[in-house]
Amino acid sequence: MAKAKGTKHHMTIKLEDLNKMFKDSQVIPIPKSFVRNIEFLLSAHNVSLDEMPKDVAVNTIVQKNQKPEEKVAFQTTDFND
Amino acid sequence: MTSAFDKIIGQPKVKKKLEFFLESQSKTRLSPHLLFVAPRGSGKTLIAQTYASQLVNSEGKKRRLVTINCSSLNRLKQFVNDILLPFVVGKEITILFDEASEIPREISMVLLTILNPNQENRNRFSFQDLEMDFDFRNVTFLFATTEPHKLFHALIDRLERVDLEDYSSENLSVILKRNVGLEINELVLKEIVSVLRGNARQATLLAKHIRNYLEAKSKSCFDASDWLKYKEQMGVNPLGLTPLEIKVLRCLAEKTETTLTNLSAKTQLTREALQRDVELHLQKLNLMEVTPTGRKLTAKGMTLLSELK
Repeated sequence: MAKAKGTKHHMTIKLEDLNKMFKDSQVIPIPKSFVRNIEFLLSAHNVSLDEMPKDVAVNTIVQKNQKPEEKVAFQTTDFND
Repeated sequence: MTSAFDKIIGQPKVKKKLEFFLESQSKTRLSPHLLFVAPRGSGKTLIAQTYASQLVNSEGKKRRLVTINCSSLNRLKQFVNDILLPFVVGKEITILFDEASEIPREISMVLLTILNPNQENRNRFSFQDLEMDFDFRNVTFLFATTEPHKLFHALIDRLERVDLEDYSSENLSVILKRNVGLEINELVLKEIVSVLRGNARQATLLAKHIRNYLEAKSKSCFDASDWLKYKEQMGVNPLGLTPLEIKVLRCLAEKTETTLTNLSAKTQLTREALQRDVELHLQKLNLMEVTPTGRKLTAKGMTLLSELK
């Protein structure tokens, strides 16, 4: 079982509080940097993130937040008639 | 003999240097990669483009030119996909990097590899799975900037530097007259040149205004009364000073010596903006001086202020 309180760098959230906010079927965006931490917590319960239906939520949000790559501004000039 | 540079006024040394490179390029197809350095509005992009217009390809025809606005360069991948792959690799082309001080470091590093000098005059650059060959008989890189100190020093070492000269009053008069295309009173011309701040672009812009004014009034000569009216309407100050520069001069006149921080507080501008945009020009005109303890007005500055009152 993982440590319940974590270190001084952690804040704790009760799962029942989260359940009040979200329905089981709901998907929420999670910053990619948190995924590794969550994976670690889940591993204590012998659960892998791969088994969870995370892709729908994560992929949708990442695509939304990605800005389209800007194009280089340039001008071409031909000198022959 | 006519030259492509005939349309460019002034810059005799620069033109000679470029003609030398062009003569050799027409035989060997090799041109040095050039870095054009000059203050804003001096025509460095025009001169670079005129030079590019004379570079020939293997068929003896003029090469195509791609002018890049470097402030739009962000990532190497974007530079490779938008410029190198479609326009450079396997093509005969000239690339002009305008505002070259804005080239991101990542791309500067790649340019170091591409422009690495060697006997064969060719280089290979690998990016992800791609290998790109650069043969300098086919590709020339030109750079133009007002801020050469912001370019990566090793990149500057790989380039032939071309520094533009200052424009004389005679040069500016010719630029003005050529662009107006109508008569300007000679005395008025002298006065107009004094407000151009030695800037060729300023001369072209003012010429456009004068031409429009004359056309609107159906006149063929711009005389003293026209200039007086123009100055009043457009708020033209002596020596072409901006209202901000005059404000700084007035602040300086309040004390024998003023600190930069004090000037900054009074003008509501940062110290950097004052140093870069105001003080340099005032010092160039000998209207103010910077001392170890602060800033003060010169005798010329005081005379100018008294004339303004």
